[in-house]
Amino acid sequence: MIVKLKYMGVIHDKMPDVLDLEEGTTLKTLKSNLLDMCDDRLKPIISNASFIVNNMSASDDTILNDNDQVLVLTPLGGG
Amino acid sequence: MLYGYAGKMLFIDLSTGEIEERETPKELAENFIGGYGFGAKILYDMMKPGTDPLGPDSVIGFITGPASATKAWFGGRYTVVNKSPITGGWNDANSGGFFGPELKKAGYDALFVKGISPKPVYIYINDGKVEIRDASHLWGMDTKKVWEALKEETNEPKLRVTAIGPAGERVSLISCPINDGHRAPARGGTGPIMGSKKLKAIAVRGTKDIPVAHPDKVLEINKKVTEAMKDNQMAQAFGTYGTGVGTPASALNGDSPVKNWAGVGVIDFGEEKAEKMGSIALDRYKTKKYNCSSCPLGCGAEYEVNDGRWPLGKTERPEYETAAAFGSTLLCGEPDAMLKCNEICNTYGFDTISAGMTIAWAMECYERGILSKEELDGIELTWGNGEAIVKIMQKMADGEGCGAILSHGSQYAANYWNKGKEYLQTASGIELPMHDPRHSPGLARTYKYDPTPGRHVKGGIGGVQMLEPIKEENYIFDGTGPMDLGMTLFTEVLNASSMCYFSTLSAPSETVYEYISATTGMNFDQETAMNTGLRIFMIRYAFNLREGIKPKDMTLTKRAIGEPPLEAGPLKGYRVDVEKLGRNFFKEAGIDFDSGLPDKALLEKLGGLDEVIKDIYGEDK
Repeated sequence: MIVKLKYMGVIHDKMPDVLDLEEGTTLKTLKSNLLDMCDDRLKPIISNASFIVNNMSASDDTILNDNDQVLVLTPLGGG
Repeated sequence: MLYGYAGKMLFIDLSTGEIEERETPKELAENFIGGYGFGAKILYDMMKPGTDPLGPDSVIGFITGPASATKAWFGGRYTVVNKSPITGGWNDANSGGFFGPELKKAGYDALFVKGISPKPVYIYINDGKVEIRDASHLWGMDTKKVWEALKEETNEPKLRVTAIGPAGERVSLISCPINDGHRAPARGGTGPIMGSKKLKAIAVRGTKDIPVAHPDKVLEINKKVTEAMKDNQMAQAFGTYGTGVGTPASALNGDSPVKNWAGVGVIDFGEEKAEKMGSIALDRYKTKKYNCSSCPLGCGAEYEVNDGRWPLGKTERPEYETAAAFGSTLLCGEPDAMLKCNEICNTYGFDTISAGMTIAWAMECYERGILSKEELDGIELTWGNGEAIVKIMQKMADGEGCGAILSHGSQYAANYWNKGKEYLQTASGIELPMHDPRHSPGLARTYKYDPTPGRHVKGGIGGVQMLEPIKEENYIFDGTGPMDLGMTLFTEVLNASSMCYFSTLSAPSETVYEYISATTGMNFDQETAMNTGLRIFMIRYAFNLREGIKPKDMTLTKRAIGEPPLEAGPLKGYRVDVEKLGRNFFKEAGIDFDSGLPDKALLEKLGGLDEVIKDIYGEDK
């Protein structure tokens, strides 16, 4: 299945826009895949990012479906 | 020798022209550190309860701290303190740039001003020489022009100036002084105090060295902090793109308020607009990085904007708060309008948060038919309409038509028109900042119950929640007191030291204590820090208590706590039990929530609070 990803913040333009994942993949597995793909400096950012799936907040247990839109947001609270 | 301090403070009475120099007492330094610690103690002693904030007995202070001008990283801030003309209680606001360290190098840890001058004046301080000078020729001038004019007039190209613009001159309640062209101790009504005193500006030049107890230790800590920063992505991101790097993510994850706090970022604002308002997208305008004094991070930048509807030429990169206040809050995805409003605020001297939030209130009132087109001088103030936002902002700056009303903030405007009060988004009358307690619930306690209400740079658990993804456990409101208080007391010390909040991005919290120990020579350990933080909190709290303001009197509007909860998006269904958070906090702080009384034995144990004990419990303490 295809999951579309969009990133906001410092991970901008550094990660894949689309991932082909197995049916039933959880958000936890997606995060793990992203962590494997990114360089060491981005790992803490991905680990601490907010994930929003189809406009709703998602947890590690959230099961992803074909054509889901996943927003990966770095929670940088600006001043 | 008082290490870490200039050793003197200035007291100026603009009614009489009297200039008095006093030693900085060692006891004051040990008990209250600097910044608003000094400020709260001195204003508590100088001002009687019930003093008119805009009257001659009102005092305004400009205060540095022991990290300032000592080579300690992040030590470039100064704090303005006053009684707020909006809340009628305590107010403090701090600012970066170079003004604070320059004041200290000119010989003074702090400057306190009372009285009202019969004509516009500015205070000129040059290496220990102090004058009150005529400012009639500067009255009406914008803050950037004042700085240039004063550099020329004093023949001091390195002069640092904090000045009000036309907004402060008109005693706009949401006005503020601006230093270094774009840095502002903006919040809570600092500008109207200067305007009411006819104090246009303070100009300082200083070349003195500040005695430091352990200068080698300061450099050693600097090295440690610099190393830590290299491995910290957040620090690197702020250093490259500024605080606005988080604007798009915050607009979508629920951190930023949307549509006057009633909207949902992912639905009402959307990814395209969010991304356009962020500083990564705006990086094309950057010409130069800007670091405040002694800052290794450098979250500021100079911009050159020559396109769009409002080509500004040289301007400055807006902060996250500004981008959100003139962006998602208004559903405006037009960066040129936001940049223009930022420039108007910097030159006329407005708090960008309150200005944006006031327009958001007016916008919702217009959309709901509460404010008519005629009342808004023919402007169709529809959601996201950048052209209309700029027109209203300019009217506020010029004090013209509806702008004359809106320039005093949303609470004033709602009272003036006597309508739309249910759409105010405020804490005790102060427009809320750009971090939503429905995302970071601890912020509700900070916004509502801190003695300086409605601030995102006061401490508490919300400051950590803001940096994390939404977590279910953050919405369990039991047992929050110890951590909420601990983090608040840390922030009291941080702010009083004159260090920047962003030092916490790259350095562990004990770094602040290490810097204070190194500059002052005090043994400033964790226990000292917590006691000092609580003493500072208590004196700010006591200032309000003496004005009759108790926790139960403080207010926070309901959207910010999910009443009613949002029906969609990442914050769907969340509510915040702010009273419970408040009760937990005050119990831990030794303050009875219902009566508002602090524990007498605790005050005695903390020390340095004799006047507070006397005022609350009578002469025989």
